[in-house]
Amino acid sequence: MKELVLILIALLVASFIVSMPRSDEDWFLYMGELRMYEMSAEADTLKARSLIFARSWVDRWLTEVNATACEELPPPPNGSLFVQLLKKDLISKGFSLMGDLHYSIGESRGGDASDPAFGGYCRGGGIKVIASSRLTIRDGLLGIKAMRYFDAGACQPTAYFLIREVLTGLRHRTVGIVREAFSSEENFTEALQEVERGLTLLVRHLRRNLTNEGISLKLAYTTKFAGEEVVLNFRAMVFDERAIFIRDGRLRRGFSCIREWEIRARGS
Amino acid sequence: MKWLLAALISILIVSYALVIPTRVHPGWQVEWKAKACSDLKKTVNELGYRILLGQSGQGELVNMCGGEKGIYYCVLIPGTSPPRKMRVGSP
Repeated sequence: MKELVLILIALLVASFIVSMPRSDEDWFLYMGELRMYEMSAEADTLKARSLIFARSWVDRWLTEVNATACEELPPPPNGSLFVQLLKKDLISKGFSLMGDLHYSIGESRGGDASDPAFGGYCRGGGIKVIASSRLTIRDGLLGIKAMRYFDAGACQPTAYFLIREVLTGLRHRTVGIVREAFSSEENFTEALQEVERGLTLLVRHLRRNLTNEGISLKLAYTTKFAGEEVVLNFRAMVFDERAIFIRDGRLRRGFSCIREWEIRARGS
Repeated sequence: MKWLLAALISILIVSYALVIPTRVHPGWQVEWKAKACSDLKKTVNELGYRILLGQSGQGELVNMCGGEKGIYYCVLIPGTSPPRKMRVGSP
């Protein structure tokens, strides 16, 4: 009987707390405070989120160009797309987003600082991304706003720019070697031997510089005669063993570029 | 039997007296939601690109954020495919 009375008293107290009327003033105060916390969560993660977006963009592009000729330059992440996605999400929460986010891409230098939200590190010939934000989140109802103006720099460690430069240089140098050999030698066999010697020296020189960067180079070519011409088909492969990029939610190591070209030569 | 009955009723009282008022009193909600917002900031800033590897720390990567009543907060993570949200707290 005593327990039952205690239980009834407890229930009475509980129902009093539950049905306690709240003041509207308090309610708005609390809601305003809560909106500030929510806005702060949105605004204070803008920098990290812009860099996550950039990393995803660059790594997706690297996945597409892996094992191709690597002739084009990396496209900068689409800042408008980032803003558009965020705007849609913020509108559903009662906020509005103004301003813009701009990205630029360039070649990284070793030793520069890379923002930890992007991951990676700066390496000579890698990809550098700079995110410049002039974004403002506004709560129309309460009239509060959060401005986030920042410039954040980060590096993708895949030495894409270096590889591209090596392959472009290699192509130009082989053209020079072949032209020179065929202009100085009348005999095709001797000219081809001269080409072989020139290419061996060139590849040895390039490998010496690239090995320290964890990059390997393979150059192969075939020759065939087409009438009075000699056709040399080149195939070069550059492999970066220190390259790291995210594909399908996993970290992948190793990036390669393969370029093929043809040089036609005529005896002098 | 008496002890079982007492235990059951005690549980009922505790849940009635503690859980229900949190839905009513905004001050408690704000405090808990503020913590969720603060934890969310920390989680996203600390994890950074690792979110793309599926890591979520003390949060959870979700497609839909859920209703408005839960003690949690979500932010969109552009770059995830399809765009997903990081949620911290309980829906």
